[in-house]
Amino acid sequence: MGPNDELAEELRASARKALDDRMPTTVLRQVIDTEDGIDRSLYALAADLGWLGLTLPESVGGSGGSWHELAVVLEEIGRALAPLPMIASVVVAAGAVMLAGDDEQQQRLIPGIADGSAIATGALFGASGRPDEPLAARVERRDGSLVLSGVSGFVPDAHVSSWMVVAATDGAVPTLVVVDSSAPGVRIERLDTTDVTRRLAHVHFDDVVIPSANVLASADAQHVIDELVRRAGVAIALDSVGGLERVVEITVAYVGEREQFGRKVGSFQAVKHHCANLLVFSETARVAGRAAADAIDGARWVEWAAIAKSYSGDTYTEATRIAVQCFGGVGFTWEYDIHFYMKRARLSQQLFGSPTYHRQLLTRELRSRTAD
Amino acid sequence: MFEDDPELQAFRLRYREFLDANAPRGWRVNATSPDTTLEIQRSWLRTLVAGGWGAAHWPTEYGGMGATLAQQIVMQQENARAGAPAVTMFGMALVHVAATLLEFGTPEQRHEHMPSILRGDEIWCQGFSEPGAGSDLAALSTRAVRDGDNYIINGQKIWSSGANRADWCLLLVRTDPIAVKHKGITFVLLDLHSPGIEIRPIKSLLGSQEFCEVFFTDVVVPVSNRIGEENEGWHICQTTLATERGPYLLPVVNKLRGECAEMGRLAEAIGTDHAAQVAASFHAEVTILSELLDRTLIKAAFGKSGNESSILKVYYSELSQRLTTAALEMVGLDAQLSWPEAFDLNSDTFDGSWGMSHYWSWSWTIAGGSNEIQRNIIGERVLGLPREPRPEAKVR
Ligand SMILES: Cc1cc2nc3c(=O)[nH]c(=O)nc-3n(C[C@H](O)[C@H](O)[C@H](O)COP(=O)(O)OP(=O)(O)OC[C@H]3O[C@@H](n4cnc5c(N)ncnc54)[C@H](O)[C@@H]3O)c2cc1C
Repeated sequence: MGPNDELAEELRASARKALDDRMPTTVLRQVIDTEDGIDRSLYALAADLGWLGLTLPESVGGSGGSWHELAVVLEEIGRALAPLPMIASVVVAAGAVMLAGDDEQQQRLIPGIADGSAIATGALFGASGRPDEPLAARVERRDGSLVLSGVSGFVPDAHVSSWMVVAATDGAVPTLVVVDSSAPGVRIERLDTTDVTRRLAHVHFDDVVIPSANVLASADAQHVIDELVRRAGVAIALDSVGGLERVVEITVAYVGEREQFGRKVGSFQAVKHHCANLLVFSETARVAGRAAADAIDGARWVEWAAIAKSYSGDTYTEATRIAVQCFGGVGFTWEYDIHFYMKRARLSQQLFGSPTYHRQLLTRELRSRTAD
Repeated sequence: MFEDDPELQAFRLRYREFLDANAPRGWRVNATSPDTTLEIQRSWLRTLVAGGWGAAHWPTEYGGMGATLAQQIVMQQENARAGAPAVTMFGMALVHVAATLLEFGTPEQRHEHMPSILRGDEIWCQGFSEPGAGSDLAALSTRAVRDGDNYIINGQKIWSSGANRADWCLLLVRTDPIAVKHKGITFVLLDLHSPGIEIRPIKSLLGSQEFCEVFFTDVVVPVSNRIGEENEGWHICQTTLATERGPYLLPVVNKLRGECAEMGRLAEAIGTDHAAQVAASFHAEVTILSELLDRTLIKAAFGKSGNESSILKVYYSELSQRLTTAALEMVGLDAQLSWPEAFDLNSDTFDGSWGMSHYWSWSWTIAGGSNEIQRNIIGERVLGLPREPRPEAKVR
């Protein structure tokens, strides 16, 4: 274990303890029934523990850490199914401003994200919420001001956001603007998702005036959007890694207790092999997720990001399919927790690009390499 | 698939004509809750029966059509085409109960129940599983003690689908606590309106109330409601359960065909080779499944199906799970949204909610003998492989 790993393990222990104390699934079940579906006091705790500013520079209120540590926190959140808007706020929104914003914008917007006083999100895609479909929001210049109209679909945590980064077309090219979520003309249509641990919304823009200070100056917004898709994808992959780990634990615990035919059902080879398969999925997805986190900004980042997102999406989905099967009848109930993982897996698989989409990105990357 | 011969074609056209004239239209708009849906189904069942199209698979002497298998399949296809309501809430009565009564019931029992089932007056559920007896059903311990002309029943069932709306229950009880476990079980018909019964719905992972716990305190069941002899229940319940792997699959497979066709349209809209390949491979499998079902049912009609129906159940249920998983990806985030409550009734035709179809598929891989148990059956009883060592059958 290098010093890096020791630090990460300390962080893991404290994150696990915080989430075990504050977000056991008994509490989760209450939180998902609230109107906003998030626990603000837990979010404040996340800020106090330094999770939100982990990868943000010190100059804007962060602690300048690496994705190696952020990975730990994201895994623990996924393990606990914690309804925290971290990926939306820290990875996507703050990420966009750090990648494409100027100094003034970063100083104005990022400290609030790092200290948790503001929650933000990114509305980066068209109406279907898929990165491979055209944007449905556009900006136009009218009487000297910039006006945003159209829609962004399936935006995570928009309902609790104070601002969002919106990708819109400006003529033929995409551009990124920061939009105040309570600005006149912004309408947030909440959606009812099967994964009750996460909230999504369609965001409608009806002639929203964008102050020029809120245009993120970037020569190539598409490049930034692509990078945000990779980062969010890896963040989701890490959430899935934590979820998979917990799925293995609770499934193995259940089949080790439940008796039929005078035996623990886990003693039947059919069930035992299911559990062994779960572990294979969990271990391989973990390798992919962590390798991707460590590869950020490196030569193999694009490759690993695509691998982690596509592989974790498919394995988390398949593992929870098997896990529910191992639980038998109780797996089909609301009362047991396994279905929360099952549904979170299925939403994770589709958010920020499906496995098919990410495998397309992988193909492109591999081709461009052989072309070099 | 069966090819329509001229006679079958004429049958098809006659039924189509009936549907065109009688099938309710726009009923989905009114199917906003389980209760309104139940009434829609009840009235449709009555219309079918009045028109001579009810209970296709029942013998004519009990008011059914005595339809051939090919005719039943044709009717399923026409139902789907016309978008007619399914009578899912009467499925247990029409299929499981009828099969059990026809094979093992007394004439009195048949005459008591079969006509009122056709009138839509009896909804049935199945009370087999218990907290301690799922896969190991023979371990059930709900106790029935003989008291003159009655049995007095105490104990608990779980996972009884639709018990909260049912009038009657197919119930397995233990009458001999000493015998080897599957030799002390008796099959009775229980009037759920009897005193001493408490029914508690369980919220399923779909968010709705699919199934129930049922508690019995000194519930009285007349001995005349027993099916077959005392302690012969194990043998009888195999018939009830076998229907689940046979005729019950007809509408379900038909629904899967509808889903597969919808997937084809999705792939067309996506327009990539990859999507087309995925849809084509599912088309191939669903076509094979339909053929397998037809052939298995024909064999069943000649009394030779036996354990091979396990192959059908495993293949159907996992194909449905795989197909809907692939569809979730094709549809994207739209398929991650919840569905309206009425969709929870799982009709026989695809109703537009992939999420619903997907999550429902576990009821087929778990209920009615899980797929692990089905594979044991295939291994041991179809392939003749040596049995796993088992603990001595418990003597109680
Ligand atoms: C949607 C739904 C509807 C249902 N409706 C009804 C109903 O109407 N009436 C009714 O009576 N019951 C009903 N059931 C109950 C159903 O029949 C049982 O859930 C099923 O038989 C499994 O039993 P169990 O839940 O106790 O699981 P368990 O038997 O505890 O099984 C747990 C796991 O162990 C595996 N396992 C157990 N034994 C073995 C073995 N020997 N070899 C290999 N693997 C094994 C199982 O396959 C499963 O993966 C329903 C269930 C569901 C999910």
